[in-house]
Amino acid sequence: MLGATIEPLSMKAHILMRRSEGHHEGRVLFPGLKEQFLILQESCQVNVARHLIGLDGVSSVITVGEVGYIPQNQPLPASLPDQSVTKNPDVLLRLPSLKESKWKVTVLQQWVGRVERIERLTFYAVLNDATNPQNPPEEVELEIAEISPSDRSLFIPGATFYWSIGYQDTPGGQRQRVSVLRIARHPRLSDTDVDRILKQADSLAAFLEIA
Amino acid sequence: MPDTAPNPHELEISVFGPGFGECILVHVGDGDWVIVDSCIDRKSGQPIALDYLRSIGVNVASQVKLVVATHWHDDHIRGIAQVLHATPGARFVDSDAYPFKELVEMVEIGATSPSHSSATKEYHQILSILKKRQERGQRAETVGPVRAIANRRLLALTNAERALQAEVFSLSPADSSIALARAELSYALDAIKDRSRPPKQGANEFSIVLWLKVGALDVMLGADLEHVSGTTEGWRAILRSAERPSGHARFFKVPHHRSENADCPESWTELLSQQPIAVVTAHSPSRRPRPSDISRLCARTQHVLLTSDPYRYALPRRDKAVERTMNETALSRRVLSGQMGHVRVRCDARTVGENPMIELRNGAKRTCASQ
Repeated sequence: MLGATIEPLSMKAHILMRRSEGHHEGRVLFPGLKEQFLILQESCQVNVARHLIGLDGVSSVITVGEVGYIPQNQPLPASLPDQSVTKNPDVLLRLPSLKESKWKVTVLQQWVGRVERIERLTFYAVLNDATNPQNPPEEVELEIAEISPSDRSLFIPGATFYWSIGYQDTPGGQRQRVSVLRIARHPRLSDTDVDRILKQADSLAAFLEIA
Repeated sequence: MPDTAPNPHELEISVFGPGFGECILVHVGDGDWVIVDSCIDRKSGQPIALDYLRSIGVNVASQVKLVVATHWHDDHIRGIAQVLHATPGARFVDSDAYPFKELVEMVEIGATSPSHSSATKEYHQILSILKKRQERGQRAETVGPVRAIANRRLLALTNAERALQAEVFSLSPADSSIALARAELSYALDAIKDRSRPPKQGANEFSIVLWLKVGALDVMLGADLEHVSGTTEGWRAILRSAERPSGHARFFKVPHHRSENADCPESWTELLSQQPIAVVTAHSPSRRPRPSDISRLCARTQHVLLTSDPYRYALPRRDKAVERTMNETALSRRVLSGQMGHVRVRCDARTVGENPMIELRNGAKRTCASQ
């Protein structure tokens, strides 16, 4: 990354959102350090102050102060005049601590659910109350549209999901009631792990088995 | 007035059901008990078996002789590891349909999953309890697991000094279901290793039907055994067996919440006495038993007792914002369990002719019109 430009600027709130969502195209360096750095490779610099409004969604632009960067391999927004775009070498950005975020989420209720059956537009699930476990299980019918597109491949009968309801306070002090439904992702075991567990299991079975 | 334990010569059958889950306790005479399956009482957060037995003064550590998991469905096994932990004098029984080595492999791999099922979690804990007991020097024969299969004697309390002689037999699973169980277990093991799909729950035909001979009386607990077309599996396999214990049961826990797929007409004539006492547990997710199920059952015996009504459970109270969001999001909702219904039958077991005393608690009820 020789020749990278260092931008020791504080970031706007939405870059933090983007970072937490994992949408950035760069690579976070030294993740163990309090200060973190992000490299944007061969990005394009745009004048955000003049042209951010009207861009085809901010998802293609990372903003730092008054400057915006379009990561490599992202198309230029059609609304940007050519003269406002500067081809840039690699850019090294310093990311502020996440503690600077003013977003606040208050969780009121959480369930762990299991998809029981799926119909054309809706699905049935059994919810177990994770906030008050003494509450009885409930069966609910929900719209499939509630499932995030990124979770659709995991959405099958028997899948576990988490449903949370709460309030989200924005840095500007606005409160939103939010409902988030995510399908559980389970890390796959490596072959080595499977072999180790099977050996332990076989030893346990041999110990316990009655002739 | 405090509840009391049954007399040494009394048979007690207590069937608990909150709408989702069931547990059966049998006093087999002389203060000894058998626990079949487990469910949790939401009020106390504890297995109902332990709550009830302690409430009538039973020392669960020494007086429980057998803990049976009829099959590994969520509505039969919640809290069963806690029950076994509290009953060090009991042997643990499960179905022999699944080969033990492969079953332990599936449980141990499943236990590493962040959201392993209740069944996996319970069995994982049970294996740990059994291992510790054997390591402490208890003989394997007194600890278990005892693997139940058709016509195996699981318990014999036949000392001549006892007020009641008692024996417990398993009538199922049939030998012929082992190949199917092995294939199913192999599928489940692959699913758990892969984690790309959830494992299916085991078939009901691998469940353990129990026959208890207590003094002069016979009891049959039907688990969730189904009535399938073949003659070598399900209820027909029991009916065809020449080795099963003789007699006609006067008390019957109806299999699989009285659904059609568990209804075997011949079992009423071949295995049960005339007008037996039949107890049904509700299964709210499948809305069983339905009115048609009850009608069919009442045509067979007038003594039908239901632990709870699967249609009448109140929604829990929550924060108003949560309720609002839930009602906006969910197209329909219903609660799957309520208070812990309890059917209790006690009877002097020294002779056949004694009239039983039936108590119905917490919403349990009689269901036939003429009762």
